[in-house]
Amino acid sequence: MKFRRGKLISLLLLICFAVVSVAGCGGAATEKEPVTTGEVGDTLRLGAIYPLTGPLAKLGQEEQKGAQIAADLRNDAGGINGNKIEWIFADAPTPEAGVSEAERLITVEKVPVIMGSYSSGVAYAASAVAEKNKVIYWENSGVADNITQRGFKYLFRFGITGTSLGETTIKMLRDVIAPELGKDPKDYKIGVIWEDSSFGTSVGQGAIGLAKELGYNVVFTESYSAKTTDLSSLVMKLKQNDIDILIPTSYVADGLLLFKQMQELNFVPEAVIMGGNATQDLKAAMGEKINGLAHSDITQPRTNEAMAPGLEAFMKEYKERYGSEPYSGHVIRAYAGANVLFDVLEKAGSTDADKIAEAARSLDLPLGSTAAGWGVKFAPEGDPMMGTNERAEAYGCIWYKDEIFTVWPVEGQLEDVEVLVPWPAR
Amino acid sequence: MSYIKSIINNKAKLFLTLIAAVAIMAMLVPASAGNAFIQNMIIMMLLWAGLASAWNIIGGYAGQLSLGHAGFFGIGAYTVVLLAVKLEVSPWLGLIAAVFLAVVAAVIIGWPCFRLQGPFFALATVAVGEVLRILAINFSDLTYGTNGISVKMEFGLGFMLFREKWAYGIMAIAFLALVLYAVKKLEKSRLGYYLVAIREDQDAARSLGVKASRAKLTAYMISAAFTAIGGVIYAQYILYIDPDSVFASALSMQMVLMTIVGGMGTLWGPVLGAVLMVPLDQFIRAYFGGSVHGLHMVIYAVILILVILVIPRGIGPTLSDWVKKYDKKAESEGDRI
Amino acid sequence: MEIWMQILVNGILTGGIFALISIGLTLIFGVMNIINFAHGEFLMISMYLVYWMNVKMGMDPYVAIIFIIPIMFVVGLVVYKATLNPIIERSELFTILMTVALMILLQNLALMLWNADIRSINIDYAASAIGTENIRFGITKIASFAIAIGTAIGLMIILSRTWIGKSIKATSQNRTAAKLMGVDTIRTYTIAFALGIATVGIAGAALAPIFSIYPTVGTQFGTASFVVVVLGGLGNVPGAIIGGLIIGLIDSISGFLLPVGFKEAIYLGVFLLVLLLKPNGLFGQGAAGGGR
Repeated sequence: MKFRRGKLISLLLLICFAVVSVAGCGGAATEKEPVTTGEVGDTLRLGAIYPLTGPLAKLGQEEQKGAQIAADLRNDAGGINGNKIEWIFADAPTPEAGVSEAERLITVEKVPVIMGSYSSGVAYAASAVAEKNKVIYWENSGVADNITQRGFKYLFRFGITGTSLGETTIKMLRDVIAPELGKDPKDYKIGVIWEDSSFGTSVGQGAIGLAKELGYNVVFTESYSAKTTDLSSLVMKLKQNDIDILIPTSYVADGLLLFKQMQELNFVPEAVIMGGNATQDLKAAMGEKINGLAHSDITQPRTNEAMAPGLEAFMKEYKERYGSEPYSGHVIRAYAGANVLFDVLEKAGSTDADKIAEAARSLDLPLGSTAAGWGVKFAPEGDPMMGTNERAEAYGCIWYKDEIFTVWPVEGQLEDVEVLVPWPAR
Repeated sequence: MSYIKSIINNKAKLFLTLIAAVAIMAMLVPASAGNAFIQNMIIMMLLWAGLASAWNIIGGYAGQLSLGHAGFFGIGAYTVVLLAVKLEVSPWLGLIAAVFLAVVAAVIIGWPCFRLQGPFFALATVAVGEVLRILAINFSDLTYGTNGISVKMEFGLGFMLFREKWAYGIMAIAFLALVLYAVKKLEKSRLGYYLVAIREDQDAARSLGVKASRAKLTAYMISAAFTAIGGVIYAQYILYIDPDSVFASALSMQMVLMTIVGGMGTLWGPVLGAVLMVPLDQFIRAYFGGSVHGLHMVIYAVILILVILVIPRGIGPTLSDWVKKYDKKAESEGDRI
Repeated sequence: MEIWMQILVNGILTGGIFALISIGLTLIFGVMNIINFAHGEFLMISMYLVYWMNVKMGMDPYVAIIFIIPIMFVVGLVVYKATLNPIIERSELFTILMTVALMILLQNLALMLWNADIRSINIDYAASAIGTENIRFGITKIASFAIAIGTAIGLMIILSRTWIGKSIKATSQNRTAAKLMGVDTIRTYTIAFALGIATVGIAGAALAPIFSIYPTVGTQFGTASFVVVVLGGLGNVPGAIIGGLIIGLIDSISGFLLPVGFKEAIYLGVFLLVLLLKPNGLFGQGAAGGGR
């Protein structure tokens, strides 16, 4: 008697557990029907993974906006071969979450393509899942060079690499800043500093690499943690080394701390060229003092339409929806990348990974063909950077009259923009 | 046979055995074998159950609040991946090296730190975990720094790398079984009694001749070794490690949280904690993650707070008490009839 | 020579910031033996409050302190009553766990309410400094240093002169005895916690002009403040000031001599050494020290 009741209770509990988990699965884990682009009027469900919570949430959310606008505009124009596009967004603040969300998108939501992922760590982990499952991983934003150095067949990176961001800082110095200051770039003492995540590291190394190749005088290089609460010792080192041109790569908060402490400690270089970070938060914090600060970054809203077709339409839509300037170039990159992905899907006419990959590899668009100003040509199979877009290059931009304008390459320049150096004004 | 008998006698055990059976079935039955999301969740559940059980040895039985276990996890993950990438050592040998290094680290950390009591020990372990993370970032010649390392995609038993999910499931089950076996043995061993005595009253235990420091250090070493194995499995499964993901203080916290939710200082508590928390985390992320930013973590935190307030001993012991009470009632009713 | 003077000045001024954040923590830690892992998150909440007061009402962050103190006091009161009071009699494991849960909750509530924008208070004097050309004193840093000293003195006066302060002290030295002497320990704990949170509220106002404001800003300061509290001795308010200065100086000097990336590891290493050699902190437990 006693035994039976005990068992009964346990069984009951087990059933409860099973019911709860099945109910829990509900929408989340019941398998959806696979999609095809075969019939007109179907919905084409695509996955997108971004860090929507946690410390990287801000830019992850921006990229989500870009992807959504791209889908909506494309749907208004008829979708992909008559199919409506629907994004299934997933939140991945860590690589581990990236894996579990990629698994979910692939096996539960049955998406043929996953787009992502802002964070390089998430890109590494989630793209490995996609590769194993033969699903296309469309990376717009991860900048760490070695994401595409693993020989993955189904991984494509539309966006720029960190190395390119770093190299453009030096190219800007050579082509824009130094001529404006009327000096030979070789006469400057250059200091390169970067926050020590994979983002900062790859940008810093890119800048150092090209500067040394060109025979420039790099006298100081050092990394720091973006979580630090004090950068005064770093500023003291820059001061001691008499740096003329500072090339810092940072996130917003640590970048602001750096500038504040530079001003406090009276360290004034001839020019500052930042790797990335041309954001509205930076402007809001610095006010008009920001004018003259140069960046190497993703293509900015104020870029010549001739170089970035479709940018104006996108900007109009963005401002209508969110009532503000885009936070940074990230949303443009996500928008342009999503559009290239839609083109590829249209060309492939199928959700088969091999066909999509083939269509992607066959693309050959010159610079200035996308809203981000870049072309598209993915490194072929066998190439060490297989899957990376060889026609993506970081743009140089500068703050002028409280707005950020593209100044490099020169074709991207919108109007006569004054390069206000030295910055900050003494 | 005796196990079966003991299962019948112990409802909590029966309950958990059934859960384990369901988990294994879900891994292997063809119907769900195609659903990698569920499979991934089960693997994570088993892995976390093992990690929480490993933490339980030092935290639950010995009552030493270590908040730096991510350090051992990271040591395990980095040892195996670096050996494989730099020296082409098989992960199976790397696993042995990882365990060895974690034990050495446990001695180096534990030997001085166990003189500290209560919150001081906890803070010291937080600091050690942080220092390890910072070192992993800055000694980039050795560790590749924040760029992280990708595991080489060479599949096969020799490389401890599999295309099929169930292989990882078996690895995680084996890991969990190993930890649980060790905890079970520990419970009945002299060391186990020492640890509980130290947890209840260290001074009293000392006065009865218990060598407290040595007992705690031994438990810490065992706990570290298992945590490192967990790190190895994580690295071989996720295929990418970097300092901020394998040395993260959030990992240490999660081991603690799961153990406490399930029931500290009990054999099955941490397992129950992982079985409940991992799916909870993943489902609420799947539901709310893409829409309202931050909501799923708010829900997670509120549930945690409620558990701490309402069932502080953890779900496991509370549940088994409830079952016992019901049993007794049933028994007395049976007598009346 | 001048460069070393500047490095010392930097260290002392940064130390003032660390000290200011740690005063509230040392009070709570010392009285209740609670490691408040959500300490940095209360700092973050206060910074947001100051930010909104500045944006919506144009209020200067330093003026906002007058309003921040009562607001954060009430926040501390409510949080303590709702979450910590019911479990205060239980093992310290649970209180620690509860503060971890609070940390997750507050961070993500902030994300939900105010999104992940990185906000800054834009005031003219934020980055200005006084001093000679090569030895500079940042104005906001001097202010936070002065506020740290002022807060410490204020708190010590409350602890030694008022009735509630005396009962806080008595409870922290010997809880059972205090209870026997008729001290309402629950009320004492509640007020001590609320006082600690009000103090970190002041810190939030002083830090708002210096640092950017975003949901995870608190985590940056969490670890450093634990180090300061242990160095200074639990519940030792003047100790927190000296501990802060020591960490500030270590931070500044090691950051100059070694690669900057190592400086956090250096002060954590010093912390571990002190912990092992002098587990009661450099200056012993203070007025409100002793734990349970």
